[in-house]
Amino acid sequence: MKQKPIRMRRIKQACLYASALVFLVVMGLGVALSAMPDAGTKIVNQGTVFFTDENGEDRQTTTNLVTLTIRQVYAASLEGDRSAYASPDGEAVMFHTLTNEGNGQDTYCVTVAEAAGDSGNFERLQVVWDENQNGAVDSGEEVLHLSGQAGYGILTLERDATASLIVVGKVPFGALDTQTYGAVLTVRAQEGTGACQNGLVTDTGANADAADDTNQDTVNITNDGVLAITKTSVYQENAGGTDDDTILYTVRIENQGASDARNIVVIDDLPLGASYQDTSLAFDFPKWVGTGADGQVGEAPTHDTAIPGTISGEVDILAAGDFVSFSYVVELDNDLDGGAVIENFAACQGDLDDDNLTTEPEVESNTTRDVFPKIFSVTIADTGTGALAGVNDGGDDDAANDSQLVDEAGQGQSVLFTNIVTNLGNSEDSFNLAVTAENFPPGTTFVFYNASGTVRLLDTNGDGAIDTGPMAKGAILNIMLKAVLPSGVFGGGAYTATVTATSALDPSGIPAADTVTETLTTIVAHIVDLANSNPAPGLNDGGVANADTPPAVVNSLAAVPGQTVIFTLYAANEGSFQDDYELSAWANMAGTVALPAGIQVEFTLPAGETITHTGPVDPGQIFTCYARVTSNPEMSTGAVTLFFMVKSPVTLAQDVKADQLVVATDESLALSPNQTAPIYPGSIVHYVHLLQNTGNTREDVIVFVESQSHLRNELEFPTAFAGTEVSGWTKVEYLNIGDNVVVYDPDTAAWKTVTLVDDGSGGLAIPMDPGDFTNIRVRVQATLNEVEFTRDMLVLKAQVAVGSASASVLDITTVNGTQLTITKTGAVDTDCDGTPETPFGTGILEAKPGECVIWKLEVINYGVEPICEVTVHDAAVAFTVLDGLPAIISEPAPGGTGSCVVTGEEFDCTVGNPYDIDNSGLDDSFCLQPGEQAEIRFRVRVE
Amino acid sequence: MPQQIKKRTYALVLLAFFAVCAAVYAAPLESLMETLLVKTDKAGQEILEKTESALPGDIVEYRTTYNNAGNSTLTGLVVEVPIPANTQYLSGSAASKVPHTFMVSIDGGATWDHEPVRRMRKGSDGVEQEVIVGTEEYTHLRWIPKKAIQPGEVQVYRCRVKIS
Repeated sequence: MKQKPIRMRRIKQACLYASALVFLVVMGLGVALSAMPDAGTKIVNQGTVFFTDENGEDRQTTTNLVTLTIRQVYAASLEGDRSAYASPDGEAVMFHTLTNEGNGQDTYCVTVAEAAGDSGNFERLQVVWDENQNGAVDSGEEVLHLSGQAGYGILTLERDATASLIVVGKVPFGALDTQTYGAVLTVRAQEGTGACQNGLVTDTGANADAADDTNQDTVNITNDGVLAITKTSVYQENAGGTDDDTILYTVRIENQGASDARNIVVIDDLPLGASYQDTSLAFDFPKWVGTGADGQVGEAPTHDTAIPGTISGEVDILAAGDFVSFSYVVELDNDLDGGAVIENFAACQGDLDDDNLTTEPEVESNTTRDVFPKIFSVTIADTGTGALAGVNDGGDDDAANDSQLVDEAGQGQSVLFTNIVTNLGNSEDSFNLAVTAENFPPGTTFVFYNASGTVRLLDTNGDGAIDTGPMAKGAILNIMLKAVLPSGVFGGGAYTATVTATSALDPSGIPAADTVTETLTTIVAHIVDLANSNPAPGLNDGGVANADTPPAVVNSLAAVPGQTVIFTLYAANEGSFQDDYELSAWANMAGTVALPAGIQVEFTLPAGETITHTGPVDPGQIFTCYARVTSNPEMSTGAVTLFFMVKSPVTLAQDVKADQLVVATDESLALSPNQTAPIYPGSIVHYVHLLQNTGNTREDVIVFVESQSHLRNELEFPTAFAGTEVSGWTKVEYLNIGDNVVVYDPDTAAWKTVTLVDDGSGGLAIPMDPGDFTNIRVRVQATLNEVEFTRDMLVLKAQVAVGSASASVLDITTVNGTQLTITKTGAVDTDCDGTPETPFGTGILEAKPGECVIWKLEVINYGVEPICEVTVHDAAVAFTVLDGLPAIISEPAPGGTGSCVVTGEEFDCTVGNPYDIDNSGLDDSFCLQPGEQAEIRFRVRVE
Repeated sequence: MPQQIKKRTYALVLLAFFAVCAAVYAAPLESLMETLLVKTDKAGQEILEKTESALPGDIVEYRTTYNNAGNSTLTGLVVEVPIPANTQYLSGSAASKVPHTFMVSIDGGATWDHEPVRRMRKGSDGVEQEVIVGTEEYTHLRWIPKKAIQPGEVQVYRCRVKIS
């Protein structure tokens, strides 16, 4: 017996791989091709950001979704160049394997041709697609190409798929021993172009020509024995699942040569992931062992008891044209990954020339390929742990029973359900998640998150459903479902929803799926109470009673316009869950009518920081703040009821209470300005003052000269206006209650006429609305005998008729050193014709009733300075009345500006010419220059 | 000057992009995520090109941009980006000009660690020992800015992944 060659083929021969584990460097891509995602795979991503806003609220937002689509990568390999033996008129069979190593489907162009430079052409040369991978050309298997035929065969392979190609060459009868016949198998990839591309299929394995796209086969012609070994596999799914799956292998060795073959050693290494099924070996014993006629016997095939081990045997003699076979069963490991590819081949070597001194090459069979089925299975379950009554933290408030239970949650809250997803399949899978709301309140939204509830789950594979993402075989993943309850719903229950986890990769019409129930027993109402004091009846009593029940006003504070008052507020969370309340103030209890425009409310912490909401308030906690209320200066007096409200925007829990602001009366007058002026003996000066009602109430204003130190005065009210100015004055002594004066109304931006009213003492008062103003004129007069440098101080005062508001101004008048004299003489005019019958004199005049006296007034400026505002005042004495109008008989040229004004029995005559006495740029009126004089006459009749 | 112009142009383009593209508005913080293919030009310079597809082995940059469109400062920012399935985080590629603390998760965002991530794991000899977890196991990235985002301020965060 020849020494059996050492077989170290386990790694190569007994090959088990999952498509994810083969690493090849192809076409310079430098990638682990079999680990890459399928073409068309969607990679979805979305960012998340957490932040705190200006109100102190913790918030979260996500970016837009972005999707990347994986493009197709093309790669393929063709294994391998073969060397075989055949006898003349025999048939050589060479096995090749084409593998699609890209990440998507591709189409290949297959041809076979005679090799050049050999001994001759095959009688027939073809390439067949061995679809059942039994190493034989079976009826019905497609002949892809016949050498010499135009065109090419087409086959399409999915990603990771292989095609077993058999090149069959019929050796001509006339072939001679030691000749060689060659065949070239060419496979070209289309790579999605629709056309056969060159150089894209890698030639791997035994490589005689090292040229891409081709395998070169060489058939050596021999008259010796020729061994052909084939192997078939039949995958046996014995029951549901894969636990007892087996493969039946059959190995057949045929002597296709012209001579007997001897001492044929057969080695079959079982594949990894499998184990020999005891007693399953079957073979024809006599054929293996032989008769011993040549002094030797063969060895029946046996398993070496290793795991997976090797089956080996030796055929004593195999006659030309004869064959032997054996079969056995392997049991597949239960923990194989779904999709694992189990490849296997056998080999034999024998004495083909009956010469112990020569060693014939080993012959390998075709490679069988079986795929361990993928089983898809999933469970989604409750946790059965973390029970805490009244706590909504994702824990299960009962035992593991396929229902995740939360005993209670607050209205508007997010209810947290934790579930456990387990991939019970035997390969990587991803599970789509869906929620059926059952009887949760309408408006409840459901969102899936990671276990900690911080990261939203995405549709990672772009199939339109939120999923777990890839989960390895046996992987366990905790997820969290947040059910966001609608605000305003509480009580009721139990509420249930069903979550379904469905395999995303199960190709069957009913993909593997499982469900779990989410149960919420009840929704607890949120309660908040608001009061002005702490403690207060009903405050923080767990919702039993309402403190400070509106619309009754609890606190009433008074303030003048522009003043701020502070109401203290206490908000108690009387519910069972933390809440956050917005603060607001309204004019009605429903919170639908805004406060009057003149009222501003600012909420602050006691320390002064402005707030708009309370921030998180725990159950039983009381939040304190201030409501600072201010009315603007124009606010009308009166009471304003304020409805303070706290309201949770999430749960809608709210409370309102009523307080009151009383806008008080503000009496205020303004009188301005203080003034100073010089005055000359015998002249007058006018002071015009501004009087304004600066309060917020209508007032009757009394104006009077409170005091004067030296000179005389007369008070005048404005009684006419022209445009925007006062155009007429009347002495107060000539006015009565009911007479009209003028006042400026800023609301209408115009002067208006008002009627003087009783000041309560029979005197005069000017009615003025808030903001109204008017002018008051004081006429100060110096007599001709005033002492030079006399300083007169006059206090003009305005005060409200009812109340205490007042204002005053001080006018200071200084007598200048000037000499203005006036001389009065009289003459009798008996017939009142204006012609005196007597000369003018200063003695006693005698006139009878009905007769007249003409008085002559001569005014002379004896001083060295001009004097202005020269006004001559006189009147009819008792028992006389004015007869006719006073007349200016003479005055300095050009004159004509003066006039006489009669009031009753009095008159004032102004004489003189305009002159800018104080260099103000404006002429003063009625000026007499030094030495000038004027004469005035008037006539009175004796009554 | 050219760099300034470039920056200004970038800012204007970015603001315009917010206006017309599918940016997400959650007043006051606007956000935008983009995917850019990392390529090299003929001169060997790196260029970034917006893309909606990639080949296995490609390097893709995820760029998230946040704009405070409100009138108030926003504080407590925490920016998170998942490392999607079929990709692997490119070590050292996480970047932002905003001063920040960087953390990673290897468990889907449940817990967070500073780099390098260390875990006790059984070796091939069955003995547990502390190992440094490879970046291929990262599932999420997190940036924690050390300053608030002011009104009108734009913050950009980048990371790169390799397509499997």
